Amino acid sequence: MSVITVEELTVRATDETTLVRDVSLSIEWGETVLLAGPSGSGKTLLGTAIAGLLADQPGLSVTGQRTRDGNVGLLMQNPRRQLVRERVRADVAFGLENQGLEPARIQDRIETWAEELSATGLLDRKIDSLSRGETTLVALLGALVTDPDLMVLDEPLAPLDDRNRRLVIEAIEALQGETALLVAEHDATTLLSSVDRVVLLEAGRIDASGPPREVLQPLNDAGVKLPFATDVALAQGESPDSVPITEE
Amino acid sequence: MIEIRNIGFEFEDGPTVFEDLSVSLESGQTVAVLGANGTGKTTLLRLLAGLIEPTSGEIRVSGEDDPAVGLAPETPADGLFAQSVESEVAFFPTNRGLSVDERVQDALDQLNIEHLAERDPYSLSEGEKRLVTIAAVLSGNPDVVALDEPTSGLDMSGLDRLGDRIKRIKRTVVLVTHDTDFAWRYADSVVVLSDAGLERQGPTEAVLNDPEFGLEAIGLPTPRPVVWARERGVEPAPTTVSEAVSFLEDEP
Repeated sequence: MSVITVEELTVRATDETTLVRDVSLSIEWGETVLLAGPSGSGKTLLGTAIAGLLADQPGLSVTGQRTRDGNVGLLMQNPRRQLVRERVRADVAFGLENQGLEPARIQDRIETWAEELSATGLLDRKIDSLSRGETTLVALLGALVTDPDLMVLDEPLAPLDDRNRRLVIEAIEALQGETALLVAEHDATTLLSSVDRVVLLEAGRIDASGPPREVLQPLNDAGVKLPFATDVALAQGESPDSVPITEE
Repeated sequence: MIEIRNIGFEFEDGPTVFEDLSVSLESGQTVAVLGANGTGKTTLLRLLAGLIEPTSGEIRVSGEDDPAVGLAPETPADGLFAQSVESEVAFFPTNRGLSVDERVQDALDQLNIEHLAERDPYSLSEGEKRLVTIAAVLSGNPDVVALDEPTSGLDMSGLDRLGDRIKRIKRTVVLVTHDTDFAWRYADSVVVLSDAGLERQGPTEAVLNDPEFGLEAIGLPTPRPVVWARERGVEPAPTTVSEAVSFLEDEP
């Protein structure tokens, strides 16, 4: 049984533009999947649909089936949108309060996860005082405290500097294997070598899917950013089986 | 020349962002302002655009009485208001009395987003929205093009088109970013900010390929081609994949 399955998902805009076309995808327990693709290929829509938040969005018509066997957390592309309270600690507690957890257990859970993400120093800050990278960490924290079985992360690294990227990457590495992860990114440089599977989305369709090395050429053809050494080796005509897939 | 002289800036109920920052930006150049999250890059751009006033010090633009600064914001949705992409991109040239149809067509064409012209900007992906906000700035032909994190959310095709457009523009382009790869390839010079203020300023190659300058220590990655070149002892470091391939093919 998968954590989640979507079948024949199609998303159309009100002007009948088809944004996601007949996509079927399952995420297994503990699996890390990189959802790659050019701008406008439908990564955010597919990630949001998997998180179960697309059906109610205005201006979209959504058809298809979604079956889930576990809880799903979402880190939005613009994480500020998912922060609703004035202070970090209160905001992070929001999901747990909705689950009816006792206040003492809520605080325990928050402290434990904040330590895991090196974000303890942010807990007593005001949301409006956070930098973009800090906002990402807080939104991630707010989702993780609810112990999701699948975490959908929509372009979590793009707006972050190196220091904050490392924090988020370390958080992703800490979750890998325990929590299933679907990470949408148009830049595969950082995660390529550490994911179980890459799904390439182009113009709303799944164009390729498989272990990283099996989809290197389609990723390159689709304009997904790869490690520089990978780009150079592929341009030299080396086989995808032997090219480096990290920056080093 | 844009002269930023001894500026200080602090938010009313928040932190001091700059205490005494002085930077000169050469006219007609593409300047990348690099820095980790929270070092004041966006604030500097907003000061340049006149959206906020420095608490102390001044910003002077030589040769222009009242230079037009076009700013593409960090969050693309903040720059969108029209019902179609075409109207969005037409707003700036209309207000400046320029030839609207030509400017709009040119801006959409240059960034390869003609196919989005009739779409509702709010229905677009983040990467597409970003290209629309940049097109909406370029179409107005401002004296200074100010771009806040222009590469965030863009795929390689979008990056290449944006970079090529910037290279050919006969304007001062100030782009604020932590994308050192993009700066390495397309910026003439860089200004590097850290929590302590101005860290370095100078030609891109001299600053970003200086082995003595630890970018990682201030939260920035060394550009990927520079890492690649250092590991292989290649000089000079390439700016593109094809330059790297040429180097390897020319090796004895």
